[in-house]
Amino acid sequence: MSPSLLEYQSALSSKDVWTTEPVQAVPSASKVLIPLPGGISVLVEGTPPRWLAPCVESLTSVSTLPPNWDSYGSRTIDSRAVYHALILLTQTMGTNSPPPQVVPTSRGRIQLEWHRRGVDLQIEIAPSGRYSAAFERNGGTSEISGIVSQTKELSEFIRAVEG
Amino acid sequence: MPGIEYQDDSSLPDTTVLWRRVHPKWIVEDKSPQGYRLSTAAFDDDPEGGPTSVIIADDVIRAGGSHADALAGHPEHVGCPPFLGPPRSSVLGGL
Repeated sequence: MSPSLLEYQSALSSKDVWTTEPVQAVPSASKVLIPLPGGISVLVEGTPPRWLAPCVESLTSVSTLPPNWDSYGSRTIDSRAVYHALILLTQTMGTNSPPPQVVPTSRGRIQLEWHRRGVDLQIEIAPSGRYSAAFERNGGTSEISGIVSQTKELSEFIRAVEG
Repeated sequence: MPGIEYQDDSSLPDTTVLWRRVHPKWIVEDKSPQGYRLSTAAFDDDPEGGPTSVIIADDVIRAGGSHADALAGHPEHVGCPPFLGPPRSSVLGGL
């Protein structure tokens, strides 16, 4: 993990980072505040990793889906799932990791997907912070689940889609 | 739906063509020749964890309709390619 990402991760785990108040200004040139849906903002210190902007854009996009967006009675996307998805990414992604594709689920959850380098990886994140992941490569499959504060195995999965 | 026990309808053969509406956000890029695939999220539509909703194509056709009718009122959706095969094992959880 690069030093810049460590700083970033540290910032994300601080109470000062997440707020329910809308953010109006950027406090300094080295820090960037990024508003997310649900009145949540994230503070990035130092240089943001390249995957951050597309992820925030995708998470914001799915967060605007109305009720019944799937035409089968779906829920809106839970802002807590968005929050936990971003936390999970900061804990598992490297500076140059490819951004996932962000897929909404009918249960109001977030599913992150990578399909590259012969690997299929998908991680579903619930509002509670629990995740379940499926990793497929060369016909072999691994499935794990846990909470976003314990993601060591997920980091290994994500290394497999880099490069 | 909670509290409902779903039963397999044995009158439907495995070759039954099923249709399903697909939201564009369920289409993801991959390295396949066509360049995309349907996310597994496209087949998990029940907020309570119930079975996936599908339309029996023959029922629509017998009534004089077409796949366009399955999409009526949902202009942002696309039709899932005729989906048949082993729904009992892959979608319905091996009923």
